Parts: sequence; structure tokens; C-alpha cells
Amino acid sequence: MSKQLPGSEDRKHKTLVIGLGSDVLGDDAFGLIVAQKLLDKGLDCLADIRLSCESGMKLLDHLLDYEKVIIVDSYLDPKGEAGKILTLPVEEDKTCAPCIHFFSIGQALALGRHLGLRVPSEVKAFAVVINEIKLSDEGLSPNVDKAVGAILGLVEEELRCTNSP
Amino acid sequence: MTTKVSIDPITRLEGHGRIDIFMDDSGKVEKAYLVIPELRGFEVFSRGRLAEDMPQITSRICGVCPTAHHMAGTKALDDLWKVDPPRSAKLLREFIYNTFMLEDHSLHFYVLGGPDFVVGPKAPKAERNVLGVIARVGLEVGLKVIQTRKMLRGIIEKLGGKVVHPVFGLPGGCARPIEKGELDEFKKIAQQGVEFALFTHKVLEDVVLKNKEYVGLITSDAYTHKTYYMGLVDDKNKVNFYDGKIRVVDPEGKEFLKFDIHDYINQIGEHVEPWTYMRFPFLKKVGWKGFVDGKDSGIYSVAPLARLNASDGMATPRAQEFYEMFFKTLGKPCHFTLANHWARVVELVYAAERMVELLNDPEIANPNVRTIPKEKPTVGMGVVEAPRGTLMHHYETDERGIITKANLIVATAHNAGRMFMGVDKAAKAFVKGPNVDEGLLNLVEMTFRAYDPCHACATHSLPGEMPLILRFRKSSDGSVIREVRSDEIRKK
Repeated sequence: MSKQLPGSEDRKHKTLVIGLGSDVLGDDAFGLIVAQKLLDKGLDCLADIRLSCESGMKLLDHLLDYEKVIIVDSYLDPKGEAGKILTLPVEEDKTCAPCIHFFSIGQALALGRHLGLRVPSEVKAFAVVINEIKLSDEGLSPNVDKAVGAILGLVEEELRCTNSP
Repeated sequence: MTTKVSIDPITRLEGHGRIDIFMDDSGKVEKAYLVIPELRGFEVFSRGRLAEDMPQITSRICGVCPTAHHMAGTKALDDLWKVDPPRSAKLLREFIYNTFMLEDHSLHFYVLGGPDFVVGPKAPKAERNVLGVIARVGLEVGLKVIQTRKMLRGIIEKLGGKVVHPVFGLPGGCARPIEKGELDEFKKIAQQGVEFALFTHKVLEDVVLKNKEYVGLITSDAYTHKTYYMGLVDDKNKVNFYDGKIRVVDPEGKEFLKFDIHDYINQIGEHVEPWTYMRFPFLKKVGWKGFVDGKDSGIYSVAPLARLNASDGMATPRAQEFYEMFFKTLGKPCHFTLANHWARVVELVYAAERMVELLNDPEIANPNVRTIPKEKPTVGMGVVEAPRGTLMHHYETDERGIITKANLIVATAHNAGRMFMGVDKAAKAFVKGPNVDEGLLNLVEMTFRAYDPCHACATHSLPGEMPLILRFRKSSDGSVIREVRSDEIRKK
């Protein structure tokens, strides 16, 4: 039987939407902006919605005790088509990261599962391609900004499907 | 014949580190370069902003060390407004800071150092990970690591408002005192932290120190560099993470410098190489003599090993006991890079004991936690010991408190010279030809893993880990023979 850690009682829903990024690093803020807009739309009636700038291992605390997690993030590809939306697989990964700054979500999930913690059975990631991460307070670049609406639609659809009887 | 090769510098935008290995025609390594992306443009970004926002802004640089940036920034603001926080605020800040250090160090030991030393550097790659560590030390211990971290993060979240971007430090004090009822709860967690830290040191003694092969690896020449060492010390030259003077010892362990943060510009120079944007700090009094060890070279390092070398001891009893064991076993000063892992565990014990000490000081519960600044701001500097080493923030403002200049020297920068030498030495020792396998890759990675370099931009990564790129080049013309990504080679 899986274990529950103290402090996980604040879960209101079985699904978590988590927007990742840093709000001072230009397009890297994409996930945070989408998550905030989901909250503004009142979609926290369907899922818990969080914003975080944490990385791999430190995200584990957020992900535990949910059945499903939807991650919204940016995908750095300097030569890619900025604003293109990707659906990325997030698989549990038992390899070792070379240092804390490299630890991935997949590695965190594998660790949680191995410890018998309640790791989500389904993790889906929506990401937008960005060309660069730069210190900026100018918000999103035009192509990335255009993708916000599309991702909102995808996440909302995913949530409604998840919650439909 | 070795041809001089100009390597296109990678920018921080690529989000990964790279090692370029230059080989002669027989496959012998002639030189290896570690290239670490560095966050640039911060000075320009900060200009025109309110100084009091800096602890919040700088904590957003990195998803791993936000508390360190927040605290260095907060101390720089104290200095900027020439305001001395009440003692209660200093105790509270130091408490939250030691909580962060305990959490971060435990994560590093079990998740990163553990696979190399609890499981073994030459163990099958399928076992050499955190799951392998748990298999050795027990599932309950793994759970204890996660639970302890969660409780520690709970303290930071309660006091700091949130874990990742704490809004705790203000110029002249803290945003709030410890509330009624929290003190007992925190004391209980701190005591659990001590037990956890002592258990961790026992794991290290039993699994690592009793294994002659591991000790042989730690003390091998491939992972040895004789450099200067830097760390913050208190008025008794004991390690202190939150405050004190910056002390530097030479490669023989003798005090070479002891200075206040305000003097850092006179003491630290920055060398620039054409192949990287990374700057290489060095001691001005010694000078930059290239990537070489020894007393005549200004290269120095920070991080746990450097802190222990630069100090005369630990300020808490059990940590002092382990400090003595450390140097009795390895000699002082200790030049073995991989001893950073043991030094980190000694510090883990100190952080936990210090949390208890701070909570037992009645003054920490004093509700007066702020002195309101009255002076006009000019220049402010703050320093703390981040888990990865000395972290310096320097701000200059106009009289309204608007930033006109900012400079940050982070631990990874301080360590750049020594890390560069370490990767070069390890590559020469272990890599024979471009067909490197995962085990050899790990032996090279181990040298910089000991420092846990911060890539600043790597706040998160999708879909997986950020890879380390290994690029093999011919020394004769610089052409690329082979390029491999660490994540790909590891999964094969």
C-alpha cells in the first residue's frame, strides 16, 4: 500500500495542473502565465492549480498524492519554431542525474514510486517551444504569447475529459 | 603537434554544460575544457529597479538555491541602508538559513554523492542511482530523507511565506516573528533533523569510510588539487553559513587573508578566457598564473571542503567531533575534491545542531524583528555561504534606492578554475580514446559533481534532465571526432 507524507492533506482534487517557469526569464514564464490564467478562469473547480519555479527533485512534493498531473512548461529549442505546442511524454526514469541542477521530473517520479509514495499514474506535459531564456520583464515574445490561448484550451479540455462521468 | 583551437562559446541559453576533450592521433587526452553556462545580463536587468525588490528578484534566478540568493540580497540591503537588524531578526534569519542548508545538503548526499559512494563508482549503472542508495541503506531511510526534507521545507514555507521565493528578509529585519505555537513545532523538527544528520554521518562511516577502495578513490591523485580555500568564519574562525569574515587559507593551510565583504573588490580579480563567457575569479594578491595548482597560483575554491579547510573548527559539539575525525583521516588541509561529500555531511550535522541552538535562544521569539531604515541608500554588499560556496551580492543605488549597479559572484564562479583543472585531470587519467563508456563518463563527472555547479538558467527542464555534452576533438585541427550526450550514453 502506498504511503502518504504529512502535509499532503491540502489536496482538494485528484488532478493537479502545475505551471513551471521563472517570471523574470522572459518566455520561460509561459507555464506560470498559463496556470495563472487557469486560476483566473475559475478552473480550480476541476483541479488543483499551482505555479512553481522549482526543478526536478524539488517538484516531487507537489506531485505526490495526485492521480493525474498536467505540467505546463516551456521547451527550449534555439532553432525550433517559437510558439509551437508540444505534448511531451513524462516517463519515470531510473538513471542518475549528474547534479541536482539536472535532476528531472521523470527521475523524481521514479524515486517516489520506489519509496512507495503515491505517485500520479498519469503525467502529461504541454509545452511551448521557446528560442531563448533571457532576463526580461517584458513578458512573452509575440509567437509564444499567441500560444497561451491554445494551451489554455488544451488543458481545459483535458480537465473536462478527466472529470466527465 | 597541438593546434590552438578556438571553441565557440556556448551561451547560457543552451542550458547545459559541455566538456571539450582534445586528443592527439593516438587517442591520448591533451586537454579537457569544462564549459559551464553562466547567467549573464543581470547587471543590466537590475538597473532601474527598486533595491528592496532584489532579494525577491535574485531568488528567481535559480530553482535550487533561492534561499541563498534571498539571504545574500537581504544582507546587502541591510548594508545599503546602513541598518542593523535586531538580534531576534538575525537569529530568525540564521535559523531559516540553516534549515535550508540542512535540506539542500541532505538531498545532495543521498541523491548525488550517494550513488557514487554508497553504491559505488564502478557499480552497474542500473544500480548507481538514488534507488541503488535506497537498496543499500533501506527503504525506510529513503522515506526518512523525503519526509525530513518535507518538514524542513514546511518551516521555510511558514516563515518565508513560500518555499521557493521567500518573502522573509527585509532591510533591517524580517517580515514576521515566530508565532505562538510555532516554536515548539520547529524545535521538534530541528531535533529530528539532528537525529537524521547523525544517522547520515553513520551511513557515511559504515558504507564509505570502511571501504578501502572508496577511500583510495577519494584520496587518489586524479581528484587532488592543491589550491587556496575560502569560507565564512565567525570571530573564533569557526564555520558560519550566515555571517562573518571571509577567510582564505593557502595550500599549506595557513591563513592568507581575512577580510570583510566590503573588501572583496580588492581581494578578488576575474580572469577571462576567449573560449568561454565564464569568468575565473582569482586572488589578486597572488595573481592569475593559469590553470595550475600551488601557492603561486591565485586559483581558490569554495564549497564544503573549502569551508572546513578555511576554518579552525565547527561551532557545535557533534559537528566538531566529525570535523576532527575528517582531518585526522585525510590530513589538513585536505586537497581531495571528492572529500567534499564528507565535508558536506559534517556541515549537515552542524546545520541541524545550529537550528536547535538558535531555537533554544529565548531572544528568537522576541516579536520585535525589524529596525526601520532611516539612512539614504548608497552601496550595499552581502555575503552568505550557499550550499555550494560563498555567495556575494553587491548593489549600488541612487538616493531613492534605485539600482544603478549590481554584481553577483556565485559559488560556481569561485570554483570555476579548480573545476576546470579537475575535469582536465580526470579526463587525462581515465579517458583513453573517444569511445568512452558510461563508467568512464561517470569518473569524469564525479569531479564536478562534488561541487554541484549551478547552471542558473536550469530552473526546470522538460522532458528530462539537462544533458552534459562530451565533445571529442582532434588536437591537430580541432575537428570533432565524436559528440555524445550524457543522458543518451547513460540510457544505452
